Amino acid sequence: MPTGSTSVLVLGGGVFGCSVAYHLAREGAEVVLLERDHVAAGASGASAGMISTPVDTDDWMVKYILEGHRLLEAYRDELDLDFEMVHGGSFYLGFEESEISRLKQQVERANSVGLTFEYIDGPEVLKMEPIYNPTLLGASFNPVASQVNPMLVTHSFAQTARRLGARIEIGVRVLEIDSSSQGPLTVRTTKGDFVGDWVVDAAGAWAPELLRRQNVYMPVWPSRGQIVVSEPLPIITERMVHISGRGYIRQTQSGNFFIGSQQELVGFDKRTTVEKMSFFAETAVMAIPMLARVRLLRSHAGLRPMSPDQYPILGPVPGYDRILMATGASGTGIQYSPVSGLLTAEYIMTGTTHLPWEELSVLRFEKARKAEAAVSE
Amino acid sequence: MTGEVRDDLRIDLAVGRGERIEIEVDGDPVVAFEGESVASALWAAGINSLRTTDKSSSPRGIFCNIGVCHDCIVTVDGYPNQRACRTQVADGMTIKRQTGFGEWL
Repeated sequence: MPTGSTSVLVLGGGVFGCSVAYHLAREGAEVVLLERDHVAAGASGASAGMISTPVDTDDWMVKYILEGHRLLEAYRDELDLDFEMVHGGSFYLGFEESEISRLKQQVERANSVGLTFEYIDGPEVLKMEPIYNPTLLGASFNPVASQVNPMLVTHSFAQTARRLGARIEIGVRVLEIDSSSQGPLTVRTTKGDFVGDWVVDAAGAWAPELLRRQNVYMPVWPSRGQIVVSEPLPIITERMVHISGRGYIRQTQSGNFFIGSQQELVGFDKRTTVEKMSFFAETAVMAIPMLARVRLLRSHAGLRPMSPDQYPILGPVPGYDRILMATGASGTGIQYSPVSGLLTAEYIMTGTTHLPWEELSVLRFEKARKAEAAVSE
Repeated sequence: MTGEVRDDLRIDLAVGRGERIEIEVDGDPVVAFEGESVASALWAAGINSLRTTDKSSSPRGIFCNIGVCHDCIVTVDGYPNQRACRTQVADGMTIKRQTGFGEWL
């Protein structure tokens, strides 16, 4: 073991943890990743894999999104596993006049903050995608949206990190982080103690409970996302479809349609429900009528780590310089994973980051925290 | 007494079977009897390659014959991916031996 190298314990083998591990291993850090179940066992494995910027993204997040797209593209060559990236773009379909004016406004605003949406009239949309419902009035289109296989993105980060020297320990449940001594941090687990200079808490919706000893404000909650999966079909479309308030439809490279999902705040309950399945099936047929003939194979759900603004929370836990958080990205974790891993590794290895990093800190919720504290007193 | 269907694979002694009907397989008429599965009817007619796979275009036929493996899927009356072993024949039914996941558009 080289003396003087930086040792980092990464908690959680989801896409954030594996990305952090990869970026650190690439810079020569000594990395041990601790995972309770297996790589991509949680929200990362239950993602739809859409790299599809929400049209209402706040302007301050746009730079991270664009950087994320750039990195993901570069990582197609750099990482060890192909993750089935397809550039098809994504539609938000509108079936009512009120929706159309809203879509047009969103396009205008999105473009004013540096995104590249366009509004397209119904007949033109149908020329691009004849399978869509002919009653649609128009749609906004994001031509740079892409799709990936989220499991493979996560495994690709993990496998490449491992090749670069990271250790990935599965079946290890973290109990607590002991930060009582001045020196290195000790992570207590069901498989004994692990010691490191730094700890990165990337445990997704479970991230707050790993900080139980630190007793800090960590506004992250499980948000259930259900997906219903169809039988495989020949590849019919490479464009993703969203219908505002209803959900999305995406065909994977294996031919199955993924139809999901919404944010449900139901605690750590991972079950799927007939109510959502039928709603998503109805949404699918509304957007693409031919899907009425398709049989559904199965459903699954993931618990995404939701933060108050649904953007990632990165950076030091207040009061603990060497415990970092990397979670909170809600339903867009795959999209933010490359940039979150890179910034976290840069900060640990050099003390600086190539994009602003403080604004991603949990401190952005300080006002809300104080308000909450005042109410409970 | 059994001349009509003597050249197929059905046993013809001491069995009862339904009405004689006709189905169409890739445009050709095939004799079947009510109550038979599509798989049985095709097998009896000597058709045992039911489709080719999506990736390697390998032929597939009846494997489990109880609805589990999905190897025997065919297009029935325009609906792709129907299990031949779990679909009963009906007079005038059209069967297409499909390529990959079938034709949807």
